[in-house]
Amino acid sequence: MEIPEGVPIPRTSANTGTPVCRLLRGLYGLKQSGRIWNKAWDDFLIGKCHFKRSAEDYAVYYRISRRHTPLWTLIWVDDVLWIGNPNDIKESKQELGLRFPLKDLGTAHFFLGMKIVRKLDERKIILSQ
Amino acid sequence: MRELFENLTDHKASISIASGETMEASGVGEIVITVKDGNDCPTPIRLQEVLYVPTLGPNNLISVRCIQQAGGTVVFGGATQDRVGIHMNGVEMGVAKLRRNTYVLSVDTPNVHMNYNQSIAVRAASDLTSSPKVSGTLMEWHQRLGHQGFDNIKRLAKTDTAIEVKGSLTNPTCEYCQLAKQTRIPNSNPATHRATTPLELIHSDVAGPMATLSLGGAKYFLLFIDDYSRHTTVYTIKSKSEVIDRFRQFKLEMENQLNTKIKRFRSDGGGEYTSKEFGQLLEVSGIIREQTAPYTPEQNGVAERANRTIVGRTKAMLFAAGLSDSLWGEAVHTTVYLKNRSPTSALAKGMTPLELLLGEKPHLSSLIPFGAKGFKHVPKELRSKWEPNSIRYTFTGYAGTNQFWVLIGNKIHITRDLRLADTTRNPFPQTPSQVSEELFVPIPIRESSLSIDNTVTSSSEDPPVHNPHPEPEVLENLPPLPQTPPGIHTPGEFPPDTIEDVIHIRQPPAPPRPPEEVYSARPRRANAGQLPARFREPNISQLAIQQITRQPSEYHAYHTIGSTEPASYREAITGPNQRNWKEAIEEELSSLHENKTWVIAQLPSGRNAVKCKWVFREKKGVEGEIVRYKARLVAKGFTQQYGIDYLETYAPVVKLGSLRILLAVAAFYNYEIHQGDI
Repeated sequence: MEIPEGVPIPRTSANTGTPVCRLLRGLYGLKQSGRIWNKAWDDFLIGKCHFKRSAEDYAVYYRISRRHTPLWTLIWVDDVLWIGNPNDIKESKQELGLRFPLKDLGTAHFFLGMKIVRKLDERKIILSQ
Repeated sequence: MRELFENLTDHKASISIASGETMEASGVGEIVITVKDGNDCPTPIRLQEVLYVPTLGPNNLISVRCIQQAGGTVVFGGATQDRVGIHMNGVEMGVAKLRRNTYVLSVDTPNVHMNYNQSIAVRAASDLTSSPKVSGTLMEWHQRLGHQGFDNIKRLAKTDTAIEVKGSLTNPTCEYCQLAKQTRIPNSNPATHRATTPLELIHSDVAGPMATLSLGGAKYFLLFIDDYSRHTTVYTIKSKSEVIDRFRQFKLEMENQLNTKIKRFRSDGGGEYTSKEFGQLLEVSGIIREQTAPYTPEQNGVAERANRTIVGRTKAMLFAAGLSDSLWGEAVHTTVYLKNRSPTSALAKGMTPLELLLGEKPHLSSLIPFGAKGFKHVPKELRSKWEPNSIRYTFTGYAGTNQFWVLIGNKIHITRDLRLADTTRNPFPQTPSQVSEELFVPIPIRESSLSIDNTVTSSSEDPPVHNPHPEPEVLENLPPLPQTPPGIHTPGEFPPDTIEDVIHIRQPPAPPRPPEEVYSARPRRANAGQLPARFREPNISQLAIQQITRQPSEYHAYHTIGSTEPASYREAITGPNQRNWKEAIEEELSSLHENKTWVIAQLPSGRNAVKCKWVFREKKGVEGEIVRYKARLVAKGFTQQYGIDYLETYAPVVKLGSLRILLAVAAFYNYEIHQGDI
């Protein structure tokens, strides 16, 4: 990347060519920004938390806990949705909280513009937009 | 700029600006500017009522609204998008050219910016989001509440928490009320015995005949007033023979609703009340009649006073809305609706008739000035290609909870979906637009909805009806409304009555409009376009309240070049607040440095360096004050080349299908669903 305004430009000589910034980390606006973000996320979930990524939907991660219960983690850029056993969810939140500045929003009532209403006794979820 | 003024006199006024602060004007005077049209042809123009605002700096503002009020037209776009033309009588007088996002008027004298955002009422927007409290100046409330007395409004503001009166508490003068209500100074009133229960005493009176028939063909209005609560019921009637039927209707309704019976009935000796049939009706109902002595309307004071109040407010509403007399029926109904919801000096502190009668506090948060203009979208299916997408209508009253009477063409309709555009007065009648009847349920005009049982005839047994009410006649003798006819103006010598509006930053707050809208001064077209969805619920705070008096009580200026966010690095370090911006840049750079975002390297041959830029933002606090200067370095991703600079662009987004399946799983196994935000 070109050297931004405000950063002192190092002295150049004829044979060193144009000085530039070699980016080691992401910056707002880069095409890779989304990818870089996802990479960090992906590395952490798969590498550290033993999740597997769904082959069908790269934004769906799942794992089977010690209690043999499934836990799904769904992501939408920076929104996370957990589906599973309350203990598994709690565990996963703690893990993620160590790595990312996680804001726990508790039981989901509103996700992606959808209103989620549960009727536990009828085993129903009502979605509305 | 002071040297530009002629006849500068001291004048204090405060102007609220977009940031929420106010600027003080210290004087008012006149300025002669020479505007230039597209061909640089100069025309001298004298601007009157120009406010002198010492703090405004080198930039001057001219109000589009005031140009419009003076009969001019302001045309955005035209030949090219970067210009605004000012037209008088179809001739382009001057032009404002786009310069850095602001239209700058081409003048020989000072720089004048077209304040084209003037109608965006920032106050209204914040009212919407913050609190249900609706505020307005005394004059604004006066208009919303159907031209009620100012003392009544103050009384209301004290008791109703939803209402806030801001600004001066001295009673302003409403031009239209002067036209409508001025009377002789009254003689002192004898105190009367007051009823202590509802329906104990009913006052009644008939007003009319009106010179103009109402839309439904009514000629009179009939009042029934409950002495205890001062609750008024009004019927618009075609002839006095309807009185008995309406009284029957009123009696049934009231006695049923209130579970008590009418005890006494007071009226004048009008034939409609003294007829045999009316007498029988009272007799069988056990109602005692209290008839006043001939030619002493004082004895029927309550009804007569209500009559005058209603006629006065109705006239003011019609004048202010610029509507024809034929809407008096709707206006009378609206007046009575509002009257029943407003305090009166006859009741204990701040009580309203409706409250006293039904025990519930009326909601006053969604009142609309009579005659406000709105637009209704016509579904595509119901119109042909070249018909307008919306039809215009005029608000003419409250039909019930969240239902409104509106005038379309010359028919009254009922609608639930009221979208108001502006309260700009429209000349009436409007060109009737093609209205699809399916849009609204056309209902019979109220006045004519009942068939008349003409048992009381005006024949020999019925004496000629005495009409002691002089008010209605006044309706036809109204002084003509002050108008600004589009006279012929030669450049430089405008007739004084039109030029006085070409003033500096004098705007009534107007509703937010879609920014892409093209404005022109033709009154009906100027407001074409609907409000954004979030403004659709009728809410006073969005409504423009027309400033009727000449008295410049409040000014607003929304300076379009007010943003001080620099557009570039150069601007940031050289412009205003450069110290703050430099600090912000330092902060961002050191953060980038700490994160080891980059190292300085040599550009490999054949590669291009991705460009980057600085973005500067002022973080504003609740009051609009700048709390933080923020600089952020962003890469210009669009200068990257696919395959060389990047391979994958990827946004991690869950598919809707997977979400639904997993939610179904969760529903089946009763799993918990939790949410987080990173």
